[in-house]
Amino acid sequence: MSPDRGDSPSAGPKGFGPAHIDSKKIVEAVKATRDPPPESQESIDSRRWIVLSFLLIVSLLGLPLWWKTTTVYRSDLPYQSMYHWDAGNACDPVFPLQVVLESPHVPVDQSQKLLNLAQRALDELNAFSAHHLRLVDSTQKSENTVLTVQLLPTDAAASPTAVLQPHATSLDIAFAPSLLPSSSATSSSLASFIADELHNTFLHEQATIAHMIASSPGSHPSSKPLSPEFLALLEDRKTRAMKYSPTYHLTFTLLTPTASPANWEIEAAVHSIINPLVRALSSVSTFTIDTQVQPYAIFSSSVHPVHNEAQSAWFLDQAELGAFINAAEWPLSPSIGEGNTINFLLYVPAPEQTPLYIVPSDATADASSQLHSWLLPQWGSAYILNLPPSALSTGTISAKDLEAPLLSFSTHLLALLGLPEEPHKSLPLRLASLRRTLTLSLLHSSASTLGALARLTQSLPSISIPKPAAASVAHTLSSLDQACAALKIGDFKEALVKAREADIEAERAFFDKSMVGQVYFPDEHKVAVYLPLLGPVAVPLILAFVKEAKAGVACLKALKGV
Amino acid sequence: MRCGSGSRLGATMLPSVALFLTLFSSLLGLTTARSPYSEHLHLQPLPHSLLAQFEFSSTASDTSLEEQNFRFFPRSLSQILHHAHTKELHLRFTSGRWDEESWGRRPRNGAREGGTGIEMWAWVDGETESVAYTRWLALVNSLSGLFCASLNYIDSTRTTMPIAAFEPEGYSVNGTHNLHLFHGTLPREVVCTENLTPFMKMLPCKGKAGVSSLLDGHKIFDAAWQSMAIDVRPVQLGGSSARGLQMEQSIDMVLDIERSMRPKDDPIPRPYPQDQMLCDKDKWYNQYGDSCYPVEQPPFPDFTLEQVFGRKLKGTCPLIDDANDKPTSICVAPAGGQTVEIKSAGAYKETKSSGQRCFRMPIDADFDVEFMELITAADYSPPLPKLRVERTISGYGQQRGGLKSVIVNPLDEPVDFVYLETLPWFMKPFIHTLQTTVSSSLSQGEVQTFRAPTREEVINDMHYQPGIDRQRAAHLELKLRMPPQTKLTLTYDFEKSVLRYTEYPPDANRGFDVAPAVIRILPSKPDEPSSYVRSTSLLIYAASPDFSMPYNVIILTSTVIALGFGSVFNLLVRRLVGAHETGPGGGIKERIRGRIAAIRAKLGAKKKTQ
Amino acid sequence: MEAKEQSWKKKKQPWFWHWVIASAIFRLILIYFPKNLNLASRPEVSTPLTSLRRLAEGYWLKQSSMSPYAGSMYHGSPLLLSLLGPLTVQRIEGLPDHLLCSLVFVIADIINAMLIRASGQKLQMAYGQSLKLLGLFELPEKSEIITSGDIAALVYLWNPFTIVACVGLSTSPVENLAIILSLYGACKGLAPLAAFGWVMATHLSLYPVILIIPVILLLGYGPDTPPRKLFMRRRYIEVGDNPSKDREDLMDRPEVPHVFSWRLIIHFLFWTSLWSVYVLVLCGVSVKQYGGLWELFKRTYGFMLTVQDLSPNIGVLWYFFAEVFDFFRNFFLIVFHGNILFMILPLAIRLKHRPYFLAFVYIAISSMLKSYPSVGDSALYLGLLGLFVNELADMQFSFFLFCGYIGVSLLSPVMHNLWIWRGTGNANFYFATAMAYACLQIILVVESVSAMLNHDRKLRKLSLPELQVGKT
Repeated sequence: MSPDRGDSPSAGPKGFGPAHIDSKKIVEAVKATRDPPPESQESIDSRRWIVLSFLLIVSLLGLPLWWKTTTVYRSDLPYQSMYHWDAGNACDPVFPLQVVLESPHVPVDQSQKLLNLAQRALDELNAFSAHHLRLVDSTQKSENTVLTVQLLPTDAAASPTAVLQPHATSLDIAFAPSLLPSSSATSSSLASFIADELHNTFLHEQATIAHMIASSPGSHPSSKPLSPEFLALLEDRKTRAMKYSPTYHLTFTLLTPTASPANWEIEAAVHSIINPLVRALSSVSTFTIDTQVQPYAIFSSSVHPVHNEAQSAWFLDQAELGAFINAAEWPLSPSIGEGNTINFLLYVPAPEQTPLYIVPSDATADASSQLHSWLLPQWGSAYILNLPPSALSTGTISAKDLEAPLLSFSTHLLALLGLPEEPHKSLPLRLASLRRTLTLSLLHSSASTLGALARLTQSLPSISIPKPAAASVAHTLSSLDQACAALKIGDFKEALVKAREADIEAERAFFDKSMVGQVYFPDEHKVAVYLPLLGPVAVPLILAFVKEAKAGVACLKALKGV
Repeated sequence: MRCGSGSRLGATMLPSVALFLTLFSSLLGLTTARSPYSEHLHLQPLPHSLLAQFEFSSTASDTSLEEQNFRFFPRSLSQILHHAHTKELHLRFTSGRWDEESWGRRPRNGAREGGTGIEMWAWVDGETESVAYTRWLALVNSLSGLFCASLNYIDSTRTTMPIAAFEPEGYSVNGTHNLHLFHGTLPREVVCTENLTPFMKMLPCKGKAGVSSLLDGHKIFDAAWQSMAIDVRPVQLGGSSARGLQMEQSIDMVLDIERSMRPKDDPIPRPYPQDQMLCDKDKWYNQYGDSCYPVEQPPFPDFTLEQVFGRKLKGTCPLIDDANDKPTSICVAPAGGQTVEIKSAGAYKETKSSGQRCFRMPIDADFDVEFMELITAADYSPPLPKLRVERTISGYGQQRGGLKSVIVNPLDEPVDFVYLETLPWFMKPFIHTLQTTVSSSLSQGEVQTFRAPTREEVINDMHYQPGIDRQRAAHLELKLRMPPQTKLTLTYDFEKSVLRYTEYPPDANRGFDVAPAVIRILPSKPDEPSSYVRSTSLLIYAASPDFSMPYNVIILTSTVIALGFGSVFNLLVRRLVGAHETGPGGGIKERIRGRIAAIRAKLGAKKKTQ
Repeated sequence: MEAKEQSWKKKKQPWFWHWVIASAIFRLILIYFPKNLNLASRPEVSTPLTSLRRLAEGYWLKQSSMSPYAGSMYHGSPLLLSLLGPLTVQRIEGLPDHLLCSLVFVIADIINAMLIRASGQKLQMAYGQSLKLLGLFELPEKSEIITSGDIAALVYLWNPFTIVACVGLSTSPVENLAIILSLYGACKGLAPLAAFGWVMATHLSLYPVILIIPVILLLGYGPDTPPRKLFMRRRYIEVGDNPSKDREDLMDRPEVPHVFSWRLIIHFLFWTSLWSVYVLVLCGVSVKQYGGLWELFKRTYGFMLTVQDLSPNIGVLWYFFAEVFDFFRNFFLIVFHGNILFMILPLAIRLKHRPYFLAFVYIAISSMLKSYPSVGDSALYLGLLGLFVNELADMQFSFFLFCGYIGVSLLSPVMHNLWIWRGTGNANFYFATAMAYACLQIILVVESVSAMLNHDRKLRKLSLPELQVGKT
């Protein structure tokens, strides 16, 4: 019915009347006007409205949704303090060791005098400020006290003697009362003796801590260089010790290549030997103990003991010990639940191979020096138990036979936990020293983990940082601060607890599963996904907007002109 | 209860008394003082094949478990169970199919076998179901590490909580509250040697002595049917006071004798040389020796254990102690009239009982059993299975289908049983189309008198939990009752949905495996254990998208949508101007319009004339 | 003119009714075919939302005291469930299953046709009236205008899509009924009816919610007319031209209702709230023990908006979301559904004087972009298209579109068969037809809108210059 189609067939049959008029009119119109007539105002307005509405919807609805649905969640981390800790500037650990001077049999003023003199002597001896001893009198004794010095005046002793108690944190000093300094004395041999003793007691630990601090980042150069053999000792301890964990599973395994012995009185033996040690160690970590019997367990075939007729014994070269553990066949899987497993293997050789000894690899040692046990660094310890045929026949290993192995196991356990050798006389002191070194190393490790996490998340902008990770980072920082504060007041138990927490939380944050989600979706792929949709949509929108804007500006100008 | 079991034995030719004693007693919690470790092998020749049932059971008291002093009870497993608060565990590695027609009733009444692939169920302790479920996940993950199996793929979409299909075997497991039963299957899993190695590690003798010395991965997983089971359940030790855990490890397998006696160096089957071939002498053309009409090999050929298992049986495991209530470490139940010879390097004890001979093997001395050939086995007929089930998929195509399972009750007594079906979520069943038809499998004469029971008579009870997309598997449990000597057909339709392309398995065009249906036959007498039958697993061919397409699809689709948007937008903001208003150039357009109009005019004319 | 039309209609009536009855009989015959010719299993007909099979499963679940939404089976409305559910289990001996449901659908189709016809007549009267106002009364007389109502009704009834959807046991006839009901009510100015239809349509299948704009416009302005400004200018010119001429002829002319009647709108909104409360209460009662309304919304509307079921249909979204990377899923879900919203406002601005046509455009767009489209939706907008047979007389590419629809509806089953049943093709084959179908719908929308705008322009051209001619 369109008028501008007078000639079209559809209008043909019924196309008279207005249709004709139309066509005529059109011809005139065509003749008359070449360019389109001016557009009416309403249509212009409606077009502006349309463009505006499109733009509004897209900008108010589309873009926010796009942003919201396609951004990975990154909760913000306290990068500042994380780097701060990593650089080691957040806290410089100090170890003020409180030593109580107990002198019940000495008049107060003299003991006070003695204390002052000894303290002065100590300060002169001490070269390393971060780790120093503070002498106090018995009134200030607290649970933070590291060592108690008992002054026992005896007439017998000419020169003072010092005895370190093996099972208590106390140092007994016997001396002649005549040695007590007079109120006017400026120096006293007794005071300097006490100072020397204390200094030597903690010398080893101090050196260790000095070394650790020196090797940590952002540290001021160490006060005095350490002797190479001491460094070797530290290195050796480090390689042997297991990674620290709040719980350890001790697994005792009896391995025999034959069916017997398939019984051992391990409960009793563990109860008498291992449990006390574990109880003492419980302040550092918690321990679980499990035992198992594995008959028909033969050491790996690559190990070949040689028979020595002269001594009618079998000998195993120490070099071969590394291959001794038959990991493929022996069920030594680590225990379930968190915590490291320490394996203690008791190997009873087959009757035809008894006795089985280990020859030290260096030829200088004579074959007669028979090793039984060896330590597997960061894994456990093994012991070859040669039973007399009489014991073998019963098929049961008595608790008495188990004593030797378990003792060696316990020493190896201490080594595996990284317990310092010095002062070897007193276990409590060694434990306390271990606590301090552990605290320091935990502080360092968790700080470095934080730094690594910060660097990782900043280098990968597409990685997501979930809330739990951020939470555990915050937890780490807070407990790090607490640990540092605890160190300052010399509360080492608390410090260790906090440092442990910090380490666990830092690990949790770093190994959060949901962080490795979208790392491998490169941006050019995103372009490939977005462009086909957003390109064709955006272009006409923008063009129309520009056009309308121009028109608007133009008519504004026109208005001004008028 | 002994005589009870005896009578059952009399009634049905079933393996060994001892097995049933263990089963019953453990079920009733009346376990008497048992040795920490015992092992047992039961051999039974089947036509052309040999059924070997290995069983190893070790016990540990709760006290020793709490102190974690392990002797023969595997430390790793007990730690896992303790960690996951699991009271009772059943784990199955099965491959192959049990051939009821020629082998008859299933060993141990099917109580120690699983569906194809891996099947496990456990009773897990937990205050709430969600707590128990998280523990179940922990259990599954650690077990997958222990057995080198992909058990960790048992997630919420493969886990169901059956109501009636399983019952705890352990002592007083039923009574205790807040225990939750979880059941998971991996029908796709291929059981193989790496699953056997950890299994052997758990044995005290580690395959170096005792009956386990026969176990060889190549033979086991080459068997026509094998089922490897681990069952841990709490038991009562000695008196009423002491409790403990008992672990039963069992391997049942049916070895094809001819196949497994092939030499290792050339395992390819070849025709027998002329002289070894058994010829039918009656055929007239056999008189010239060069031709032969072969008759099939005798059903019970002559073989020794070493030939079949390819290993020596190295005596008893010395760790089983003699206070054991079954001093027999190996039992042989020869087919009727078959003679058995013992070749032993040491002294052995023998005890005869109904239809079977049991031996106490010497320690550290080889032991071998030779089964003599039995040609005339006419009288051999395998014991009838309690139920026969076969499940198939009806219909074709990748979108919809029907599931049809035929259950036959060959015995002449009615059977009550529970039918458990677990379907993956992408298989959407229409349970309202569930239909049951019962037909008689009797001869014509009696069929006249047969009255087909109504659906209500067949389906006594029904529990259905529909699946949820990507969250939960559909789980159907039916309590059915079948009249004697009838055939029950269950059918229902289902739809297969298309998954996201990341949800398909690596070889999507192979299809998806559906776990076998589990049938628990309820005992007719209360003190009996219930026996199990499982159908074969199904392979579903589901529609899959083109995995090479993601970018193409994204680009094409979004281009089309964007173009639609753009054109509508242009249309709306464009200014409409008549052709005549603009200068020449509209002409062509006009002509085209004319054409179109002409065509439409014609069409219109046609329409009018109609 | 009225008289003429009447007589002309009389002439038409028997012809029309014959065809209606014939279509009904044709449907019944198809229903009696075994298994409905497997139409119920066609992906083009029965989507997860409209399939009666799933509804039956949902009803079964409900009967066995489970939530009908337990499991990802049924996603429709609980009211429909309680309406059709009982019919699905009724079996009559010797008659095909689901006979009752099929009958319900046939009746729904017939009613749809009737409603379309009635609203078509209303539209046409309005059209003729406005032409008269524009002084173009010659046009209707000379070229007799086809009664678009009858055409549309017959197009709807005989559209293969409609027949297939009706026979193929999909609930889309009922959904269409709700939509058409609301449009009809709006056309006639019956606010309660319009409100009821709109609420029901929204409840059954979420997408008709956008129809509230055309419904309100219809109620406000009345049925479609040429742009309002024409009338002003026309009258202005007339009055301006010949003041000498007495005004009777102007006065006796019926007045054009170019005032927006708020009263009806208020009514409509009132009734809308009333009906929606009513529906919500009913739903709440029926799903009380199954997790309440929130669960219901999650299972129905949530299921529609987050495309979970990826079983193939004639839309493009199933394949898209089967292939898209999970990272972009939400983004595209929102974009594809937002696309509908983007177009609403501008279209309303441009076509506000033709609300019924606007409704048609909305339905077409939403049936192109909805998550589980079926041919039932196409059937609806194709039927409505017939209402504008006069206005869209010179639409471009109409022949091409015609062929395109035929081609797609022939090819899509073939490709589906190749992929699903034969296994010789793969998903891309079927997806290609879906793409083609989407393109066709886009072209249809664009062309129809542009044709309608052209038509308005022509009316303007016709109405104004003629006077100038008269002057000279």
